[in-house]
Amino acid sequence: MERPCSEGKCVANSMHSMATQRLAKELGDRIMTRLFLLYGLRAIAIWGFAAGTILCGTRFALGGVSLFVLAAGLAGLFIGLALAGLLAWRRGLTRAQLLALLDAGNPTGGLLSAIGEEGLAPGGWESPHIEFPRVACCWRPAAGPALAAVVFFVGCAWLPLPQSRLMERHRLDAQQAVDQVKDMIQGLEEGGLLKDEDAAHWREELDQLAKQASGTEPAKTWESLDYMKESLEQKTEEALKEAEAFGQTLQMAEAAAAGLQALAEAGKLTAGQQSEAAEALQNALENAAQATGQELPEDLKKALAGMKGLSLTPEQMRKLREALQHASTGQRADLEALKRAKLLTQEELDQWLETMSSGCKGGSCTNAAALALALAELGQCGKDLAGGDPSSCTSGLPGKGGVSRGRGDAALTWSGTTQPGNEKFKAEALPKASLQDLAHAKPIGVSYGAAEEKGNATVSAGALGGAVAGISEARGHTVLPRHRGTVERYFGRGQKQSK
Amino acid sequence: MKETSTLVSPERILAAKQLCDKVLDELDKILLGQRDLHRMVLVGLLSKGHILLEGLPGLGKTALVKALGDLMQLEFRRVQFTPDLMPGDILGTHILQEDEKGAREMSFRPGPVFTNLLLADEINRASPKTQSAMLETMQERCVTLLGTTRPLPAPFFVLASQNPIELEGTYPLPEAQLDRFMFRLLVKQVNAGVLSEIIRTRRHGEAPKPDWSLSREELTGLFDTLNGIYLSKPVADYIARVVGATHPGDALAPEVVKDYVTYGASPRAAIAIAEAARAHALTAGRPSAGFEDARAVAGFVLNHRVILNYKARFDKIGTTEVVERLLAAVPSVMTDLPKAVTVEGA
Repeated sequence: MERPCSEGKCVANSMHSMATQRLAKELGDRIMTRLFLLYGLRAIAIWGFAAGTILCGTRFALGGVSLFVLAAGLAGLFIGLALAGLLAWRRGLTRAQLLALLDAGNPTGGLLSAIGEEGLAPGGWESPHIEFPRVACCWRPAAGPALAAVVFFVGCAWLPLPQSRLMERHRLDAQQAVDQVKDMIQGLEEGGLLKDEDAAHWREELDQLAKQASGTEPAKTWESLDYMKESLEQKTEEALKEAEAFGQTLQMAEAAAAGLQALAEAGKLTAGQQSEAAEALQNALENAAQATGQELPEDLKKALAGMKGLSLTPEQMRKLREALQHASTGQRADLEALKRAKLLTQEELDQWLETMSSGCKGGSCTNAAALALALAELGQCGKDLAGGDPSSCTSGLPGKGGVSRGRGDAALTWSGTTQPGNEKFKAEALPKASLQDLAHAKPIGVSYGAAEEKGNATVSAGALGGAVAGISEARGHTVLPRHRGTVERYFGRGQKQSK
Repeated sequence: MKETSTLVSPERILAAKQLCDKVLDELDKILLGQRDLHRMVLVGLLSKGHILLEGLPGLGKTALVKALGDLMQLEFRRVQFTPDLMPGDILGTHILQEDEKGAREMSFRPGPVFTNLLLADEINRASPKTQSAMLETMQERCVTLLGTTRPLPAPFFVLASQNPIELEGTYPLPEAQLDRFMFRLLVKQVNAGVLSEIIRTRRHGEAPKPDWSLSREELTGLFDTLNGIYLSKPVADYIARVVGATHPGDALAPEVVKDYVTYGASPRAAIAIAEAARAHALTAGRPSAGFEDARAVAGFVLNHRVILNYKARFDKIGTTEVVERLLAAVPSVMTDLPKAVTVEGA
């Protein structure tokens, strides 16, 4: 070994060292790249088989995989690649090893390693020509499994799998109940009681509930379905009430329109009265619609708007009646939709129809003629239609009924007949007898004859109070008026039954 | 701050290489068709190692050593080893002498070993006792007799020859003796062309005298230059791995070693490879010893140090083949790379 380098030579040596380092770095990068690819392929293989197996198992056991699980699986791939990079970095060669590799692949006589060692200057030696050694990598053992793993993963993700018996056993078959609720939603939607977006939201909730239905926790599913059912039924009930209220208003309006039509045809209403009546009718309908949350049909709105501020012609009245009839028909159709959805029973629907048909049926209204007379009299009374009380104008009319309660000459209606023998009375305790006297009585013997009369003993209390012993006394006893009805019915009972 | 040392300058290396080439050229002129053998002999001498030449009779082993002595202007002596040769015949002996005054004293008469270049011809014919006499001389380069140690002249080389076929009446060299030889070189038969040239140019088999010889100063200069040849750590590691792999129990030992080797090489073998690699690099004109230098000399260093088992004998596997397969199996650079990634030449 020679003396330490002079200043100028050391600069040249430094440049020489830099060139050597560059060579080593380039070789190191080549090796590192291949190592990363190799480990990356292995990571893909491990990830593919592991993730595919988990995916298959999840799909088999649970019937599906959430997006969160898929995202976690992809994150696992990136973690695997990062680990591959770390492993490649850790297995990378040192500078001394790289220089030794360059030396081994070239006839340099160990010059690069010698120059690369600390504390040794190359002197006047030129950097030899370096042939980069070929870095070979056998890809097949790594690429084959990686490819197979990717195919396996894709297969696990897309190929149809049979559902596990375990899943079937734990699955809750709530489809029937779900379908029932779906029908209810559809009925409410068709009946106009549920908005489209609300119906879509309910359906979405229902689908999710059906997916999550598990036999291990059936109460949760059934509770949710019951809640939904109750909510829908409550909504139906409210809707039915509103429909009933609105329907009555429509009936009344139809009856009023029929009466007004009759008056208009008879020419008994002045122009002002006609206009006022039309406005009152319109206000009544709009108020009813607003109060019940219903919406007036378009043709009815048009008919009412056409009458505003004008005298009512028979033609207008006819159109108004038709619009009202049409509205009633539409309401009936909505309720029939509810019935189809089993939200209403046939009895409930029939009852509603009967209630609604008590006023007008088939275009003929029961009290239309009477209403016309009432309106005519109202006009004669000089009162306004809107502010007046038609019931106060009773002269010339039979009975004292009003517009809302029917007329006196209307046919009596009976809700039911009383069946004999089934009377029910209010229980009323009779006055107590003098039990104290009986407590102190002493038997003196048994007799089959008539009771012995002993003095003038009287009964102090009870229905026979004041009576004395003896047959004559008993026969001659006066029954007080308050007992007469009871006694008569008691004794008359046997006669009726014998009849 | 660590002091920076510098590699031997190219000028010095070039001069040394030219001298080596000149020696080789002269040797090639004297002994035809043995260029590789000459190079390894020169490498052995520059490394100050002893060489065991093995070959059939008549291949020029003795002529080579004689030529070397002439070429390097080294004192040369030849000892023909025979079964009755005694250690004193080689090392020297004390004899009782009477001086002029009539006093008697023991005076030392140095043996033929006191020379620069000793040719131990057919060394395996001497008895083990006599062979053992060579141990100290070869290793310590000195002779101890009657409590007095006498150094041998420097440089001192032993070039021994042995005949591999005439084994009757021979004493195989003990392992300790073999280990002291740096190289065991096999002198091979020359081809017909070379033989024809020998017949044509040599009358009575007389080898020509060299036209040129190496001076003592030049030889010393070569030794100095050789001392400056650098051995980098990766190459040293490689040598250590190769020697370690000759042992069947070593982790890096290849199958051939595990199957056929009983005992591996000693640390002296590693030192010998390192020294020989330096000398090989010098003859090639390089300032540092590389992997190829170590590989070039390793076979000759190891082939007599590896002890094979009976299985190798039955399978007719020799040490040369074992060492060749061993060198092919041990990687030049030890890396932690997976098997799938390979770097060419590593």
